[in-house]
Amino acid sequence: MAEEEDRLNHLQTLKAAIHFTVGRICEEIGAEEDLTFSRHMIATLSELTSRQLQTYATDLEAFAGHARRTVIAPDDVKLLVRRNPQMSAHIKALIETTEEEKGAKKKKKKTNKDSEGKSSEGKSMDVDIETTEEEKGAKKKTKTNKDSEGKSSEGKSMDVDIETID
Amino acid sequence: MQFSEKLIHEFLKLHFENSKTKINVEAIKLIAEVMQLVVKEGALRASHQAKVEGSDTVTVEHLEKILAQLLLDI
Repeated sequence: MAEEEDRLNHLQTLKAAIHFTVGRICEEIGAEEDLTFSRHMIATLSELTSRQLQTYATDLEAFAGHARRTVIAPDDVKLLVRRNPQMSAHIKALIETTEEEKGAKKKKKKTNKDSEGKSSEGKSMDVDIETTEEEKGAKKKTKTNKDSEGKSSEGKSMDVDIETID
Repeated sequence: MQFSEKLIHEFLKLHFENSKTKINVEAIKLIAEVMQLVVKEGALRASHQAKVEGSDTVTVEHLEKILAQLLLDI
């Protein structure tokens, strides 16, 4: 019985918070439309909101359960508002923008990691190109201006290659 | 004015059948958005009804008149 009382108390607190929010929203609209909302009307609207939220709770739980999940996901909310076309489009757009932002963040992280890795790998990559050229004797016009010291012998073979191409 | 995410989360938790059910942060934000739109829609429809009737105060009677259609639409 005490548990039930606690639950009801908690519910009352939350309903009061909902009432406050609904009142604020009505104030804003009242300012826009140049009207006043009666207290009774706001109370009825907040009761309505609470009831609707309660229905949504059971619906969302059912949707998540149907998808064999215990966590309610944005897709469940999408399903919830499917009946109203404008609402459905609005929610769908919100989901898509958040997904884009997440995708953009992941890309940023990736490019940061890649650029860091390349600068340290740069030297080893040049070495690899040289060794493969030596082995295969490939006729490539590479930019070997940087390390010309250790390449005096290679330089000759390179020249030979270029001559044969011509 | 937005619905507080904590409020939505707490309220939903109270009405879940299964105590194990949890909710994604993104989903909470979306539900808060939906609830805000529901309230706005109700308030706006009622205020339009009041204006049509030439009243400068929105009363329960105005709300009652638009209630049926509102519930069908949300």
